[in-house]
Amino acid sequence: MAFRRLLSFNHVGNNFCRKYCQGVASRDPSLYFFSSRVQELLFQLNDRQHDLVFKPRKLGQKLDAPQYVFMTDEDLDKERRRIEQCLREKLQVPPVLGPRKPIERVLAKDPRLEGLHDSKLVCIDISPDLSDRKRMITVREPDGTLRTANWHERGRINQIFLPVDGRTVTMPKMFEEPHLTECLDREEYVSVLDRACVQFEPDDPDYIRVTSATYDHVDAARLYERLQSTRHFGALAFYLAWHRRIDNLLLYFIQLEKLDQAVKLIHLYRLLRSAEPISDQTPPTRQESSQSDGFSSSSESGPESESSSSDSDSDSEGVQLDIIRDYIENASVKRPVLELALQNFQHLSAERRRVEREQRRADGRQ
Amino acid sequence: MQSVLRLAGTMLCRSTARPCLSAGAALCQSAARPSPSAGLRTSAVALAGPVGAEPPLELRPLNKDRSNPVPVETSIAYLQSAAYRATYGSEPVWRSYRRNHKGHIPPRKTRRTCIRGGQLSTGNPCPACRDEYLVLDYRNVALLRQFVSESTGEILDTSRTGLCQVKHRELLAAMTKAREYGTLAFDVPFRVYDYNEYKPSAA
Repeated sequence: MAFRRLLSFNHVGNNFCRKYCQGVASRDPSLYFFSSRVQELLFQLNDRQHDLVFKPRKLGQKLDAPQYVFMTDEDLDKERRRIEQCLREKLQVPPVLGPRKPIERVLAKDPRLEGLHDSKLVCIDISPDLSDRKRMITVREPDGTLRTANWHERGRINQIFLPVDGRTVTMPKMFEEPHLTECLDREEYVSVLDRACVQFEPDDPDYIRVTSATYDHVDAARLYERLQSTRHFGALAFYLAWHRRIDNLLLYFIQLEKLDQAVKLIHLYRLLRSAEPISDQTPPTRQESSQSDGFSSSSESGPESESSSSDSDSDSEGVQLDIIRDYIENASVKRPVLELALQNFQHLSAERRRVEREQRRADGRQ
Repeated sequence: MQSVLRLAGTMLCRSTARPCLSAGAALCQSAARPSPSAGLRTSAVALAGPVGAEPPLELRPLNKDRSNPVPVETSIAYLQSAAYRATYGSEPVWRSYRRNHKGHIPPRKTRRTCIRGGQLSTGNPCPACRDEYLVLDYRNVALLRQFVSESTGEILDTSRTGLCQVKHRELLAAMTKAREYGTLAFDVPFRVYDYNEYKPSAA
């Protein structure tokens, strides 16, 4: 508990967050996160319910009346494609990076300037076309040293001169203990995560601490549906797969009978476990391609499952069950619980197929 | 907790006699909006309810003394109590309030304050001053939520709520603190990331 309080001091937090540096060789999650295969998996793992993704944010703006438009078929198709594009933008996962390294370095020492000023002077390049992470910010100390600003100073000075809407200069107290725990106990996960995205940079140790605490709380309470259809579900899935704790989420998918999502989660877990960072140039391995066949065939059979016969349905389901069973036997921690859930699912789906067959037989007789 | 329990007996009494309009309506089970001519006080018999029910809410004489502020924990408990429900029902506390002014158009600003020298000093105090158990504090989320617009999330102006200027400023301070401590959830703008800024540089 004392260690957690220490984490809350901004100016101390250089490399205190261990969360993404576990293991003997501390791996950098950013080497895996930006791969197009991982990005596609994170997108597919999301429920993507349009009502929730496009829920309006209450930002004090004047509301317009809804518009009713007459459209041709081509206009409708064009609008659907535009909405798909907007969906991708709304579900952009916040970047997952390791904690940042210090960037303070001394540029010059001028002892003759000592005593000229009694406070530090800060110099910032406010050209609008520069990126905030790269613009020059320097500090002249009262003893005459000229140095680059550290990350904490950079955040504050950037916010003063080039303010970002929704961000405060100092860290809000809701991100410190005990207020953060109180917010999480009230299950306000999305509002905490949204505010963390606006307030911090993705490699800020405070951002990593807040998001890790939130994902841990969600995982412990099994309240994954709170983050479904938001951008944070992808980040949650990445976090759990990175830390090899996908069992609860896998159980959640199996209990909801979403086997294709379960298979995708296992695929993500395997991708993040690979020793070498994934680049888009390396072709998928044979194991990956067989797994992708497993769930691509299931996604194809999805819309046709009602019309196709139960045999093809059970085939793709069989492939999915094999992949899940393989994970449960070799890599899972909660093996008995997952096996029981899988058994329940198999009983249920066998019952459902039997009822369907009898229904069809009865219809055929009529 | 002990002090709250002790006050439970007194909290069953209505805190001010005047906002009895919705109380009377609630107890008479009428869905219609209360009439302004319903009078200043509702009879204690009407408040009594059926025989054998919970202890009836008592009418207390109007208390103009504001020199002892009520603790916020008491206010939070009051908002869940039967006395609050009888007084305000399910509507916001400012809904039944009407300003008194000359002419058709109200003055742009409400009065500066209803409380002078620790006492209510006006004939028609604003919704936050008339009931001493309504404390505008960052922890009193049930009360703060009543002053936020449902559709746009902005803090309602005094032209709608009727609060005096001092109480409105207290409300703004409580809202700022609520956002700082995270007691009141609110929406922030959607942040779009440029992945090119964060991708690891090719080794």
